[in-house]
Amino acid sequence: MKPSIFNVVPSAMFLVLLFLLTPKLASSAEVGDTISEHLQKQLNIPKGQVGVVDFFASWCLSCAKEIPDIKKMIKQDSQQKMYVVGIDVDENLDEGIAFQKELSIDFPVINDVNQTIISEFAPIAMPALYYIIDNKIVGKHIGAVPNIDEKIKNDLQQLGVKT
Amino acid sequence: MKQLMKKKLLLIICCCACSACSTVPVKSWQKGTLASETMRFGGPNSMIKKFDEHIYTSKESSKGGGGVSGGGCGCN
Repeated sequence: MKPSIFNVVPSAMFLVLLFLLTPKLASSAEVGDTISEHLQKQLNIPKGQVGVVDFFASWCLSCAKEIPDIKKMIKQDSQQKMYVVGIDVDENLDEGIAFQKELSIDFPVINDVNQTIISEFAPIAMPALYYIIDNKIVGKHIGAVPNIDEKIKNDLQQLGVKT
Repeated sequence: MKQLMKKKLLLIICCCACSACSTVPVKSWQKGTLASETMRFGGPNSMIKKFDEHIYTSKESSKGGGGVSGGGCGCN
């Protein structure tokens, strides 16, 4: 008995349907991962400093709450042991810049309008904060963290960095 | 009869596969639109929400509990 097209096609279609219905989960950057060369160039973290990469957006209220604490933390870092770089993931550049001006952000910020940088990190929630030493992710905080400045200080001490 | 059933099954599967249903979850950094004021009940006009709250209070003799904390970023 020759296999009819109506025997093969439904099976194939069913497999395609199963594939389409399977959620595609983006793999997020984990502690221990090394960031890509392209990302290294973009972040431009100086050697000998701990890179603190903070992802934020104008629509993220928790991000807005954390930024003043991060600014306070930078002022306390007299020895400049850490290099904070903000990644604004607003798709609208004007909104992002207005938000940065509103919060008087004085640390370097990359406007990730195309959301390519955050896609590489793929955090499951916002705000997201990553520690990077020698292009390697050594720690992260996902979601809102109260008193993030104290948390960063403790984390850096645990990483052996005295601020 | 059997052929007809198979054709119908094929048609249903085709319709399901080509439907607009998306299973791709919204990423945490793509929630800017969801967090906008226009996505709230009543939209950006706060008077509509107040009016709705007034009706609720009048009918239920109770108020509050209608707010949502956070900015829609999935962090709270």
